[in-house]
Amino acid sequence: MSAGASRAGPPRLLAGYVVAYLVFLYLPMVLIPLFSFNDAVQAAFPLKGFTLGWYRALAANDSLKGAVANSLLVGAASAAAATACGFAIAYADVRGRSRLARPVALAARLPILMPGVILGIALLVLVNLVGLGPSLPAVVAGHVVFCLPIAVVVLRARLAALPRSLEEAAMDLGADEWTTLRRVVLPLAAPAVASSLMLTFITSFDEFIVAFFLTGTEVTLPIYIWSQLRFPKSLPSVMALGSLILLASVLVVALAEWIRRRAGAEAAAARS
Amino acid sequence: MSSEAAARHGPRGFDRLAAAPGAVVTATLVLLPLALVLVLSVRVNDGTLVAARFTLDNLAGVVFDPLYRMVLARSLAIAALVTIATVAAAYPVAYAIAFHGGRHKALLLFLVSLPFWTSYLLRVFAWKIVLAYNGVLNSALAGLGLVGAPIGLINTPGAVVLTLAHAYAAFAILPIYVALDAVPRSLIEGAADLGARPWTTFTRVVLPLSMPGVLSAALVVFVPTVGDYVTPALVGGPSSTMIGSIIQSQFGKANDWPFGAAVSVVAMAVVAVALLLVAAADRRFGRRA
Amino acid sequence: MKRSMLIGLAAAAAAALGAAGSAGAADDKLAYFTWSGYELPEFDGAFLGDHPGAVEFSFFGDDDDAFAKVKAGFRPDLAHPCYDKIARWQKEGLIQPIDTAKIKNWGKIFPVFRDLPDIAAGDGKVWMVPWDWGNTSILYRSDLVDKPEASWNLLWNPTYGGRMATIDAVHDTPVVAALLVGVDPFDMDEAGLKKVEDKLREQRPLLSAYTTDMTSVEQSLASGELVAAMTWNASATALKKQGVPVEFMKPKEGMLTWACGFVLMKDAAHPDLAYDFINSRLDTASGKYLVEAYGYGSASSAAMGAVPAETLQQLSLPADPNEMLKTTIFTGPMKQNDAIAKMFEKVKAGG
Repeated sequence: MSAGASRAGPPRLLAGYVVAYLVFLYLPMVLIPLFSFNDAVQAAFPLKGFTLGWYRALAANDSLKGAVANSLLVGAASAAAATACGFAIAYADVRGRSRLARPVALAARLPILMPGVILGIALLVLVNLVGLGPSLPAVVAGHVVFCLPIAVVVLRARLAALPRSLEEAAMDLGADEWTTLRRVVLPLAAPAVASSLMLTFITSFDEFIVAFFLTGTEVTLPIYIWSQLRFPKSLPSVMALGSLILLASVLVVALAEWIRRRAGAEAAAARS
Repeated sequence: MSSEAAARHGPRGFDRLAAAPGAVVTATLVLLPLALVLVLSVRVNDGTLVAARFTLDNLAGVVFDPLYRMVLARSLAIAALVTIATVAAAYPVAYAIAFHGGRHKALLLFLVSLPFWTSYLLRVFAWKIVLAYNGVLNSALAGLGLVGAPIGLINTPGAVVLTLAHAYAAFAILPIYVALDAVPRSLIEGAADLGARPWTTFTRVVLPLSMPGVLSAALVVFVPTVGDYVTPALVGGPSSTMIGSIIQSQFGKANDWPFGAAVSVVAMAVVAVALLLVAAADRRFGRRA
Repeated sequence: MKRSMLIGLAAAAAAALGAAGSAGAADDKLAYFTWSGYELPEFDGAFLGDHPGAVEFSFFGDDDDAFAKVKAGFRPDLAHPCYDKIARWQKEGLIQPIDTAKIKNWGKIFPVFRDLPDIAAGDGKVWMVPWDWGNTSILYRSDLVDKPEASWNLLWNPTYGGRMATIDAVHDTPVVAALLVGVDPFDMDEAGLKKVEDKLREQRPLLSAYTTDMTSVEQSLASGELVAAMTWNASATALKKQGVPVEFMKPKEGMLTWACGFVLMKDAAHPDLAYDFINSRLDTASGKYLVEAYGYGSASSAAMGAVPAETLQQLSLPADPNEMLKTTIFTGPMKQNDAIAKMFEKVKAGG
């Protein structure tokens, strides 16, 4: 594709394909808000009339709100822990000085191979053996294992791409390992850390199979939704919830993007 | 920690401290459960938690029973189909964003990953609505006069492929995009200058350079799909029973944990072999750029 | 990333972990492990009056999953499995006998439930206090299925191939298959197991799904995607209310009746709260609410008596289960439960 072609814009076929793909992606998504306003218990056509009743029911539903809060909590804790551990593992591996680092990094990526079922059951046995039992901390532990490979892969890619010369220069200037880590490596790895946090959070927030085995009295959102599926009457409220989550994520990402743009603009202004 | 202290502890101390948390977490949360599963798979099912006696019957049962081999093969086939469909469908989109996205790259990436922010279960349910008997798709096809009677899309392996291709779209697009974005434009221009037509440039320069991203995407879609039992249960019908469902039922209804562990061990081994084969292929064929 | 942000993040993570941890640590509450949907306060009027906020619920969707969790070491105080699984729980040493002398409404429970063989633990004690019951049968579209014979064989009828569904549970579909081939579902030998397996295999290509997801089954029956499905009586009520032309069949081989109830876990931390809870749930008001809200039967004769006759009519529930049970098949413990389960999983997978 010559430079001329890309300046002229994407070829029609490609653009058409992308549009079709986006339709494919969004078609089912559109149905969720659509049926959340539908005045009927069943999510089927024809539509029966507009109502805000399901959203009102949602506002009054304490167990649902509890489940959302739990998922946010678990997501935050899992993302933080997985990213922190992932960073330590990736960093040790990239530095290559410890013989332990390589096998540990390898082992940290093993959970990818394990079906969620088996991870869930094995951890369930484990948490019961140590007396913790199924509970939110158990879910966090499960999600950390589940998310660890993601964190390691993302962080390792970024850390490996950082030129060693930067670290060496810092050390030559008299900084010790810790200072180098804090003031050179960490800032440079920041985008990957942010990436890892976001990916692990989303993964944990949406994760169902491992959580299924490890939840106790406090449930996470996917477990709550699953439990409601047995009750045909609850489907529209769950759809209302899905729509709200969608809205919230749009707002969050838009906000993050706006902050990024402003920070970029400020930096550009400061430079000029 | 002052520089002198660091010099006394030396890089060795730092390295140990750096490696320690990772080692501890990995040992307790990854290796221990894995060991538990391996141990459980060779125990006799007497109904208790960790079981008492040692036996290879469980593993033999999985390996030699044609049913489990068939289900495993079916799981691999469906997962492979999902992977190919997802990655193939995702590639042009990633390409379009990387090379023609311009100022809108971030927005397009955002649009592509947004569906991923709703609950996985709800997305599967949404597909049930689309593919249902009187669902959106059938209504549309009937409305356009293309079909006489509603087509049975739901409860088939096809529905599983469609639903998962949708669910993993973002996971496939992002790694491919990252790889494509990193392709130096100078290489492409150089190829054009040497007289290569656009398609040739694509197949001989861009595609090979993006292979690591494609393989990443394939990995990220393939492995979770093999063990998934939720999607096949909700939209797949009996003909889509996959190995994940079998494992889950051994720990639930059938109450035979050692056997469930044995099925898991075999499944994990098969997936590991598949991954190794792909990695070997990647090494042999992937370094042609 | 700035240092302050890192510290802030670390603090947030620690707080999150701490909150997640403390969220579950309530030592003076009764831990009740039950089916989703049974946490409504209307069931616990008396209990919540005496011990406000003193119960904590954990949920399961399937009592096989519940058993797996408890076997793995989860220890609530009270659980809510069904009668056919009691033997499993007891064999595993998970439960302790309940003293019926402490159950003040024990006498109000229908004799047919009080006298269930497997719950007797000797000495006036029982392993399970029955609480709820219901029927399972074929729900079919009366306008799409042409006057079918009143038999479970409808679910084996090739005319409706691809438009039928059945319940994905060992104590439902295999039991029906056994009934149809003349094998005792609750005690069968190798030959019998093989016959049931063949019958199930014969059914597989005709089914659109093996499921416990009643939401989808009801939707599919309403839309016509399914013409017949094995469901619980509550689905019949729901669809009739929506005006869908359905009939809940009375098969000649007999509907299936199930009963579930309370079991007290061994080493339960709050046995006194447990007894109060059970007593509260056996109150008339509680049972009446169960019938009216979910359409399932209450084991308490007082509760059933308190429900107006027309309501019971609409719900296809008899006021006296004794009568009904003369013609239905009560799903009790199946001696070869695990073997049948394994066989059923294989058949479902295509083997």
